[in-house]
Amino acid sequence: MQKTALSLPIEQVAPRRRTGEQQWPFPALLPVLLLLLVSFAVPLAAMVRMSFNTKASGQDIVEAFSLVNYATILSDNFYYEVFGTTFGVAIAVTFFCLVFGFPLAVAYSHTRGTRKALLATIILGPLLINVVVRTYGWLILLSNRGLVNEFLHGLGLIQDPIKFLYNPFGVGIALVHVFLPFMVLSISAALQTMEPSLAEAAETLGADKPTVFRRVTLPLAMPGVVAGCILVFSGTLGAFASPLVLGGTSLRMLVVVIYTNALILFNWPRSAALAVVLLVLVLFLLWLQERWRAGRAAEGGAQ
Amino acid sequence: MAYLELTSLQKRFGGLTAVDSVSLAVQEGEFFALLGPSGCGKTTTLRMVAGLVTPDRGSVILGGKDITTEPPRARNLGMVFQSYALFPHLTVFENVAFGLSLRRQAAAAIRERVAQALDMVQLTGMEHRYPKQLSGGQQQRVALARAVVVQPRVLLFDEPLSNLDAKLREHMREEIRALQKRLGITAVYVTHDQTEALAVADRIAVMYMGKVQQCDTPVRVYEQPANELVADFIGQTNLLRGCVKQAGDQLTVVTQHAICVPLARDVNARPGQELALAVRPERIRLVATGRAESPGYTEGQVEHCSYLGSQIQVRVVIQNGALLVNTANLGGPLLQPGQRVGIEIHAEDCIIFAN
Ligand SMILES: Nc1ncnc2c1ncn2[C@@H]1O[C@H](COP(=O)(O)OP(=O)(O)O)[C@@H](O)[C@H]1O
Ligand SMILES: [Mg+2]
Repeated sequence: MQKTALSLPIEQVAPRRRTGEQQWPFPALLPVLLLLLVSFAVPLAAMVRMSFNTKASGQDIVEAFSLVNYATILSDNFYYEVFGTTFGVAIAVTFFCLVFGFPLAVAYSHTRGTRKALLATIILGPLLINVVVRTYGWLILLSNRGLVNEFLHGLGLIQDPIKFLYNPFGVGIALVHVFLPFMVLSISAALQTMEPSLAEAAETLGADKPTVFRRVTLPLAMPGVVAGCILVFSGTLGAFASPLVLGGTSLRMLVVVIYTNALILFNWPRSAALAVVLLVLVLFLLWLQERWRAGRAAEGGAQ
Repeated sequence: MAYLELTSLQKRFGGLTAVDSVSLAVQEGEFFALLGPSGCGKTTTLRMVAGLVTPDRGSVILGGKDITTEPPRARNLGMVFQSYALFPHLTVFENVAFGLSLRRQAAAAIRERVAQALDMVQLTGMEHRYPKQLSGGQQQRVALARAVVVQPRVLLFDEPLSNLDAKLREHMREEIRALQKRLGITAVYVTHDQTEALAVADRIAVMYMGKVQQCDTPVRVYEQPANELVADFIGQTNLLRGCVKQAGDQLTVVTQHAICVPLARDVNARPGQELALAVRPERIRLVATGRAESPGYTEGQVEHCSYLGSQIQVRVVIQNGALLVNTANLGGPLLQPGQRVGIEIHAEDCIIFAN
């Protein structure tokens, strides 16, 4: 077979940037690092320390190095129920954020001009309003004599009000509302790095729209989907205002239980131990994401 | 009937007519270039052929069948994008196999055809690399392999070489041309680079402001541009406006620079007519000074000399203007700025445009 090229011109692939060589602008970062140390690391250390202290009911906190709080958390069925409820809500919230967030992100990254600004306002607008205020808004909408129930009752669709409050349902609705923007932002950030000509190239090669989505858009959006899911999931684990106001203390979400232990039972050591468990869980999730990302990078795939 | 025909294609974006009644006929196996300055509507025209843009009016006919409303996936065309548009999450092999896998081919057949295509662009052994692990030239080859492996009816190129350096660009354009001829695939090649178009194309359509100005072979586009726009865009051109005077039975153009260029007998002009002479820099002669009676002669002063390697370009200031003159580099000393030179322009070296 006849070769077309006479000779290959010399052209090298640029060596890949090594990450270990980055300059460490330490002096410039010093004030910020100090601030973080004082406002973040010190209280965190104090909390971890507190989790090893002990407190019997009705008595003072005793300085100790005891694992009794962790032992209680890991052995008491009550806490299994707490983790079950919390994870259940977090999984459901993440799932619905993904289901609603993906189409929104696709729409957001495909529109231009004023329509994009309008979409941005709709998606990001809720972030401008305090979570507590939004939560009370949901309280007005979802209570037994709230707008939703009155409306459905007025239409004759229901006799007795639907119970949204003090169960996972109402809390889930409110948390999806709170965390949806984060899901949309991380997915659309991933989609925005995708050139429009990729979809067009796939189309000229014979792909219909669903195939383009399955084989090009979705794989390229995956880093955003994973980041969004972990953001929403860990955010839901740590959410406080909505579970407390809409779920009350009867819905045993982890953060509400921490709150009850700290401020009602004054059992700071146990509360601190629960907080440490929550922290470890969230860090574990972030570590998982990082490993997944590093695995893809090593494979040479996207980003 | 031509293999690929565009008839009165029209596309507006808001108030802007990007493509304005473009009609073209491309023969089977032809290497056809769309050439024009940036923003003249080349890409839009090409995308209408690919089905990525729907024309407002007009039709695209391929192999005798009207495909204007067919979606891109039904057209079986191969397109090489300016940015290459390689799938970053797929390996070289998977990129090239993409189109074949959609055509439900057996895995063994896909492997064989991908291997052939990669051999054709000399990327054998790179199958398992990802696009970002390749150089620009190699990415370009992958894009080319991905487009030809599906045996498209037409290969479409949108400025495929604009992201490569000059040396590689020249090399790749020869390679693309050789590949196209060997496979006998009809190709439509969009570029703003006239040298590239002149070098590779069988025929060139020169576009300007959404309209096709001229559609011809490279030689004719260069030697006989249809109008001033084409003359100005392809290569460099000195445009001399003037008026026809009669002396006896000899017609002469007197330009705004007071150069008198006698016209050949067969030129269709009448006394008093305004016209423009377009003359390429390499067709103007530098001569000794003091030949005031020779036809087409004038004198000027060297303003600037550009050393271009094989040629030397001199900018000469003459009465009411300046001319670009290219001379072959014969090894003598360069002209110095301020030096006086004689210039001769002959009618047979000029293209005449009636105003
Ligand atoms: N999708 C679009 N929306 C609005 N204007 C466009 C669009 N595509 C192209 N144009 C405009 O149409 C004109 C022709 O564009 P194009 O075909 O890309 O030119 P070329 O490829 O010759 O540089 C340009 O002025 C460009 O700004
Ligand atoms: Mg273009």
